[in-house]
Amino acid sequence: MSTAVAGTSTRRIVIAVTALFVLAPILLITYQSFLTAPFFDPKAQLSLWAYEFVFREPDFWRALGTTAMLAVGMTAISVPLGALLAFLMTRTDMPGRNVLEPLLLVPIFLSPLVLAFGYVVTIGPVGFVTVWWKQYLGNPVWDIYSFSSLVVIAGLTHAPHVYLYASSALRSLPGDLEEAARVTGAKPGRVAMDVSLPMITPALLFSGVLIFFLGFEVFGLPLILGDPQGLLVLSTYLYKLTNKLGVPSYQLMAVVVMVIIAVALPLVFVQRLLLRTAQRFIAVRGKAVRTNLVALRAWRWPAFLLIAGWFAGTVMLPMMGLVLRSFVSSWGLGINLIDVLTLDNYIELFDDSEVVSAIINTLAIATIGGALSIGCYTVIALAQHRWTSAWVRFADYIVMLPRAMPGIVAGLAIFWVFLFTKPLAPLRTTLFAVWVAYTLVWLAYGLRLVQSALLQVAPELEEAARVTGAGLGRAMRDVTIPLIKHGMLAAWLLILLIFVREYSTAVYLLGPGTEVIGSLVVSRWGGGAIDIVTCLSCINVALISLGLLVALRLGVKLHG
Amino acid sequence: MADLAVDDLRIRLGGNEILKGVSLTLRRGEVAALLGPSGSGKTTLLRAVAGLEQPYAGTITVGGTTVFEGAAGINQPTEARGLGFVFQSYALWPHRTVAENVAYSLKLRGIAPDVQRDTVQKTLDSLGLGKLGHRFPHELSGGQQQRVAIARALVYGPTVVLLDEPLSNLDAKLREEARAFLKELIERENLAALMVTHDQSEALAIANRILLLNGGVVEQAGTPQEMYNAPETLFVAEFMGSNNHIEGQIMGMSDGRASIRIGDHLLDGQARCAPAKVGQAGSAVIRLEGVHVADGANGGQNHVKLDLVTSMFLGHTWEHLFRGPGMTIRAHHDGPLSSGAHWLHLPADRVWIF
Ligand SMILES: Nc1ncnc2c1ncn2[C@@H]1O[C@H](COP(=O)(O)OP(=O)(O)O)[C@@H](O)[C@H]1O
Ligand SMILES: [Mg+2]
Repeated sequence: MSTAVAGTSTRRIVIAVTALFVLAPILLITYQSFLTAPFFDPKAQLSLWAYEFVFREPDFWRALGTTAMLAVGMTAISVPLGALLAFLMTRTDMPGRNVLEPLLLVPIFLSPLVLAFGYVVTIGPVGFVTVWWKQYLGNPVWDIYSFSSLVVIAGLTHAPHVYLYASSALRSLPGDLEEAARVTGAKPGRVAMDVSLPMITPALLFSGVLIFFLGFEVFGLPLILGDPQGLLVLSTYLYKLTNKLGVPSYQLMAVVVMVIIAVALPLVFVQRLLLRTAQRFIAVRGKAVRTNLVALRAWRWPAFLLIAGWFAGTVMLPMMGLVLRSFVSSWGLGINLIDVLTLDNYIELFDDSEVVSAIINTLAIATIGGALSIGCYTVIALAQHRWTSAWVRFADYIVMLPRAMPGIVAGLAIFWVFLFTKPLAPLRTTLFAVWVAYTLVWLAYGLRLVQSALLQVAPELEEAARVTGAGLGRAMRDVTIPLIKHGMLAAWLLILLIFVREYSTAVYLLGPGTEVIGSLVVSRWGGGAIDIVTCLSCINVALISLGLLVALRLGVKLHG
Repeated sequence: MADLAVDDLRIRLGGNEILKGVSLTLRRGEVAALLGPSGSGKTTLLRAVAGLEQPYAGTITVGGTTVFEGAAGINQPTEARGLGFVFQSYALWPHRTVAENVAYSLKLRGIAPDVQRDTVQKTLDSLGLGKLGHRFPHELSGGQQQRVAIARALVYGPTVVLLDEPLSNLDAKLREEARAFLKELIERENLAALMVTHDQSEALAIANRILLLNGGVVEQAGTPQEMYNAPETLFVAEFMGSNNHIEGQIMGMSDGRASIRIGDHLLDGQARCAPAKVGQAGSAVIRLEGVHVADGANGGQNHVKLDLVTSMFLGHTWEHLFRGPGMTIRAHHDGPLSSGAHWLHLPADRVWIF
């Protein structure tokens, strides 16, 4: 009896601490949004003033409208494109599928910020491609700093998210369902429309909502591509608001954050609902191994070119531009590439102590911090493991809340929490604060990685330890944890990649001692230091590629 | 005194009443088989005894200690009950070798490493696994895995062992060998074993006592002979052995005997507990081996004349299928039969009327 009670109270404590960790920032933001001044200002009073102020701002409404249009536009591009990619990859005899398979997921792991830099240095006003185009073909027909470019680029880079869910739905579709339709006399096209497509509708619907939701979160792309034209979305509006009134306008920022959360939270719950439906369809796992692929005949190579072209335009082009730009001293119309090639950018990089500590900090937070985060997620997952209790349902909802906070919002919230809580204040200017923010932002994702590893553990294995005399904690230590070791390693690699990529979360926490590549690049871009930005971006991509290679070598499934 | 006693145990799972008051007692040297159709609650009962499911009422006593009592709020955690448990899937820890699997419980009890090693080796030897200690579970055959699971459950010397369908993952040949081995082991170690099975022949062979569970209650309990030869209800009669089941109308009933009309025939038989009333519909049940193929024409009491439809050779005997108006009867006979009509004798003491 006593050990059972001890186990239960440990579970309760873990869940309560998690709830505190999640709710504190949200409650602080809510509180701040109802004040007339920053919370540390003794003159601050409770009022709706900040809401009235923000809701009277035309810029706010414009940003909200732009965000909505961006979200709709990128959904309209990503979903059909992602579904097409998935169909071609899983259902047809298109050549080169094995080569393309891992490449398709690359954009998910690349920082959108880095991609945006890549686009600027290739097809921006003085990008490589633009300059060459001007030399030989006259004025370019595109303008990268327009809203439509932003939508197209966001749509193209987010297609892999759709591909991920659509392809796994298509793969788990039992072949006999389609064959049954074939046998009754339906042609392949009809089968696709009458059987395959309806069967993956839940997955497509889910990914549509996911993309729309991500549209509300994007920060890097609009910051780089929208800003020069004064095009603001909610997240960049929030970022620009920092010094609106000359003094820190926390109450206004808090109101914008409240709006973002109010839009995102329902979307998070809709996604959760849709994912359940989608999984019900996926759960119909057929034993039959698919052998019949749709023969594309004359369309085989055009299909291949479509995917290869998408990859070249979305990933290769900006990446090559970035690499090239990092090896030239200057670039513009009338400059000969050979004359400006240099290694100086990289050499100078290491004279900049901020840059050096950003690289070191990024490595530390990704490896050590990532491991610590996985440790926390594991503790939370174990606290819920094989426990039927209202506490577990409560925890299920609690851990979803941070998903409604885009990185920039969570970073701001954690910044405030550290400012607000006196004992934590000294830690605000250390990497610990950044780690806390990262751990919060990726809580739902990381937890799901650990939980899916736990799902693989047959309950009898733990029960067998219990009957031979092990208490709850002992059984977890001796059986559960050793059995999910591989899953934890995979989760750590994925979190590591994500922590290297992360940029928006640390923006508000940036300071001496807390710089990471992502946030430093945002601030240096603002200062126009394009050499350093491209070098750091290349280093960032190199680190991510290295991590991806290791993950693929170890057979880590890239989607949790 | 009983080494395991369960009294009026009640369990609700997911809002459904799974066990509705189950009682049993078990002594050392005894094997009790929990028999019942799939979903009758056998596994649930076993798991509740081990503390892996949570009853809401009843008592469980292990070796004189009350480990669960709903009314008094006593509920010892699984690890404190000191039982041996063999899981249906064996549940061998894949990340530990055979020796480590078996040694785990000794380690938990703080036994010195060299004593652990000796005890494990002795247990493995006694189960014929002496040389396999360094292997991992996936490197063993099904039969070896089953023995490791048993070794792991017995190594710390529990008196009461619970086994959940321990033989169901073995193929038919191996299952018969394992059955004998298990029975011998339980008797040698003087254990009190509660074993779940859904196979009535396995229960008959291995158990000293059988409890037949049906819909969360014990339908009947008794020795294998009682269960087989004196079923109290139609369910028990049908569950044990291979039967002919004939529907008819009850015609008469007096001191334990009854007669039933099937078409033109009137069958005499033994009335079982709570039979139908005279004039109502009833059932006659007779085991396949209770039916005799009568040589030559014979129109006596409890004789029926039916056409042979088909015959099957079973190895040690033949099974013949007969059909006539209102009844279909299968019978065992030690030889083939010519086609056409045959007289069958259904002895009144082998016919049960419900
Ligand atoms: N966790 C559970 N929640 C709800 N019902 C359950 C649960 N576990 C088992 N049951 C139900 O309890 C009944 C008995 O199950 P079980 O004891 O496994 O049967 P048996 O072992 O006799 O086949 C079944 O109808 C099963 O569906
Ligand atoms: Mg069972």
